[in-house]
Amino acid sequence: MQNLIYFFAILVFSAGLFVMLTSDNYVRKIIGLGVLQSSVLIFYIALGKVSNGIVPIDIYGKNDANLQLFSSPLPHVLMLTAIVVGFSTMSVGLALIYQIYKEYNTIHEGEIAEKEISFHDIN
Amino acid sequence: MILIKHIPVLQVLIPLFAALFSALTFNKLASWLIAVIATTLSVLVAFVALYNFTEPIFYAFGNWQAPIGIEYRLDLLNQPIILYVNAVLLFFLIFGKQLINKTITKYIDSRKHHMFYSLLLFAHAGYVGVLSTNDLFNIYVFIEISSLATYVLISKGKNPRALVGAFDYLMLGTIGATLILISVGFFFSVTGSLNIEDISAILEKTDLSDQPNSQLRIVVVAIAFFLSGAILKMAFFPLHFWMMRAYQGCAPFILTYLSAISSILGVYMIMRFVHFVIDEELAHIPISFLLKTIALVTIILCSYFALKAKNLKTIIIYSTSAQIGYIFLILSLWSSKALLFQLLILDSINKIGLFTLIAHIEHKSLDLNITSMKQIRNSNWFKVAAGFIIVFSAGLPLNGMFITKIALFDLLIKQGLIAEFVVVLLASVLGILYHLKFAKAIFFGKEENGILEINTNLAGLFAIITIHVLTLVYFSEITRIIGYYIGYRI
Repeated sequence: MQNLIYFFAILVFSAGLFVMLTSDNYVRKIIGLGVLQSSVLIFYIALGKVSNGIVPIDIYGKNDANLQLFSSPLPHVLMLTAIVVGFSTMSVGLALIYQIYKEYNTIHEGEIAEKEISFHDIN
Repeated sequence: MILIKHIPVLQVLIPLFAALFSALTFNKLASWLIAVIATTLSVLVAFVALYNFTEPIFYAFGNWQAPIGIEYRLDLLNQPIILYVNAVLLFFLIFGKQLINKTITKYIDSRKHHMFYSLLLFAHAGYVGVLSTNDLFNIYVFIEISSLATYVLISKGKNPRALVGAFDYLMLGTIGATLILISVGFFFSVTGSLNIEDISAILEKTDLSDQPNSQLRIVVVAIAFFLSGAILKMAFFPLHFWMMRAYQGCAPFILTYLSAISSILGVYMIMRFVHFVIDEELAHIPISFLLKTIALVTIILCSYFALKAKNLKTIIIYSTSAQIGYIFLILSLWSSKALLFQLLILDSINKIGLFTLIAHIEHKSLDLNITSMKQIRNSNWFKVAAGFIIVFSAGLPLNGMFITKIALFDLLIKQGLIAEFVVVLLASVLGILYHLKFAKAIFFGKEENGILEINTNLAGLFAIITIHVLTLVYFSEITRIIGYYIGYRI
């Protein structure tokens, strides 16, 4: 049962990859990218959980007899960085889509490929 | 000098801050000046670090010592590469100023020219960061910093197809980086550490081969994720298709910098990973087998594709891929690290020369198809330089590449690897053939396709030739130094 969360992460990863690789629309590809990256967040945060561990805040003194297990806070900190990286990747991607739209007047991969072929015929 | 203690971090901080400042100048010349000053400084700093080298330097950030804090590590494996990478950027900025203006920034809004140099420096900071860090998660962050800048750099060119190529690059580059991130997560789950040396020590201590349970399987999965992520990210052979699209649209001159550095970086990452994270005994056989298979297929197929290619730029890109095949082959033999870096650096210089050559042509004529190449006329110095550069790159006698190839043949025969020997021999012949095709397109363009005259500044080409001649003259010294350095701790 405790490994269920990893299967969920795999599910999200595959869903994101599927959307990215199969959709024709560039904006949908970017959405797939976002889904793919969030699967990594789930994976890492699941790694940090210690069973029966509490929130990693030091509310007991060092000599307290009630010392408890803590969940590891490190994966959460790492994922903060990964979220920022994912956000900036997505922004760059959207900016590129905007430029593609200005050049081709469409954001569909198939239509752009057709225009490329006609562009070659003219030259 | 207190600064000498901080050299590891200065190497990354100088380009990073220079990038910020040149983004704030709003002036093309000023941002170029900042970039040149910063890069010169970086070269000097890297040189000082290499000159004063006695033992590996460990730099702990904020004095948080290794397993807890982030750590940089400079040793004789990465410091020479950092020096080389800085030198390439300096070459690109100084000798390429005219070509940058004529082939790249021409297509950018004139109010945003300064951003080009800023992005270049950001990418450079990321590359140097990947080279110097000793922390797995830090590698991921630096890969993403350099990639984000690179996506924008290759999205500009004469052809709007560059945009689509850059978008593909963004998609597949992000998948590659995500795979690397998942691999880092697996290592973290097994060892509880992110520091490369710490991980390697812990893995050695636990002796994974004794445990039939999940630990070994997790490590194997992590290795598989890392290798596939790195191969996808750096566009090594089986997963290189996106790179063809991305590189075909963009201006060739930016590739002198990006292509030369990214292959070195990828090989460095895989090398550091293979040698430091994984226990050599455990992984030697499967990884050697995997690398050797990839290498042999790459060498033969990419040479063949290069011969069949119809575009000058495609020939060079496939040739780069084929050279990576040679490097994987040497890596899989596990014995000749000196040869590996000779080949890597020489090939990188060759590719810089070829891409610069193409950039000169592309500036005048947008058509780089072999069948419709224009005739080059009245540009004798250009032809002289082109001849030298093609001969050097083809690995014909009397240059460093030739000597390195002979050393490779020697090694293969000594180890009794006849099949590999035949493949490499065949690929070398194909290599000479596609260089001939390249030369034919440049020297014997048909007159009916039109005429073009190269009148750009050729200093860059002659600088590359000088470097080639110098490497040839001082070949034994360089080999000795690299051999000593690489043999130092691996």
